[in-house]
Amino acid sequence: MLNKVRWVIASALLTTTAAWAGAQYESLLSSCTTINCSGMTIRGIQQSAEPFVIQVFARQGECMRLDVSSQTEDTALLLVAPTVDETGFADDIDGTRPIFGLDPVPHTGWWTVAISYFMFDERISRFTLEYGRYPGGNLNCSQATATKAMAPSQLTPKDGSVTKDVKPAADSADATSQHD
Amino acid sequence: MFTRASLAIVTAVVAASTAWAGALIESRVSTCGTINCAGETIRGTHQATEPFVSQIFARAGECLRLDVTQESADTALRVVGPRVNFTAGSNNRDAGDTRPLLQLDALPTTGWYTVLVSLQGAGNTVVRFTLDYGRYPGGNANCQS
Repeated sequence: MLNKVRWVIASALLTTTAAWAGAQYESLLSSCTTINCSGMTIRGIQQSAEPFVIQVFARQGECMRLDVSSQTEDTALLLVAPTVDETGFADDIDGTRPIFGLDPVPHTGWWTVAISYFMFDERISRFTLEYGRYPGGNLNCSQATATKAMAPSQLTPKDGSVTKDVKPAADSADATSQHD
Repeated sequence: MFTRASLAIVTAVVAASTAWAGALIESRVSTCGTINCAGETIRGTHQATEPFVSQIFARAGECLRLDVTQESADTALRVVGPRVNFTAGSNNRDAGDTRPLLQLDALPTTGWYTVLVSLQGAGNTVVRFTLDYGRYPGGNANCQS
C-alpha cells in the first residue's frame, strides 16, 4: 500500500512538472516551406492573472515562427530575447491571433515566450501555439504570411497601451481552430 | 529495492522542481520604510544564453521593488505584467553602477508578474546574482528615487 502511494506521488510530480510554467522546448530545424509545416504544437492555458510562460530555443540566423493558431480568447504574445533588454510583441496579426516571425534570429539561446489575454482581466484563455525553427528567409517568416517579420533592431520594449474593445468571455472549454 | 527506487524518483523530481525556471514566489506586503527591509532574497543564475525566469505575485496599487543587489557580471532585469503587453526593463541603476533596479509604484493589476534576469548583452557568460523582491504599500520609500 505504501509503495502504491509513493508511486502515485512520483507519477503526479512527473505529470505536473511537464506542464510547469517555464518549461523549455527545443524544436528541430526544418527546411519545409509551407506555413507551420514543422515544429511543435503546444496547447497552453493562461490562468486568471497568470500568463503562460515557456522558453524556446533558436539559433542565430534562423527564422523562428511563433503562431497562436487557435484561441478561446483574444490573446497577445510577448517574446523576450536571451538578453532580456530586447523584446518583441505581437497582437491581432491574423484576426485577433498573435503571430511572431523573427528573421534572422539575432542571438542563439533560450527565448522566453509569454502569452495572456490582451488586457487586464480575470478570464482564462486556452490556446494552441505553433513553435517552429526554419532556415533564415523561409516562407514562415515572410511578411506575406506572418505579417510580423521583425528585424532584430525592431525588438524593443512595448508600452501597456491598449485601444481595443473588450468582448464577453468565451464559455468554450477548448480552443477551436480559426484557420480558414 | 522497489521502495528505494520510488523514493529516489520523488526526491529527484522535488529537488529539480524547486530550481525550475518559472517557479512561483509570493512575498508578503510590508509597511517598513527602509530599503529592501522586507521580502524575499533570491539567489539566481543566468546560464549561458538562458535567462533566469520566475513569476512573483503582487496586487494592484502596491509598490513592487525588484533590486539586483549583487551580480558577478553586468546583468539586465525585466518584468512582464499579468497582461503581457505591460513590460518594463532596467540595465543600470546609475552611471557607474551596473546593477539593475525596478521600482514599480501603484501597480496596474493584481496577478503574477514574470521576472527575467540575464547577462546584459549577448554572450555565453554565466552570471550569478542576488535579487531582492519586495511588496510594499503604494508610495513606500522603496519605490521612491
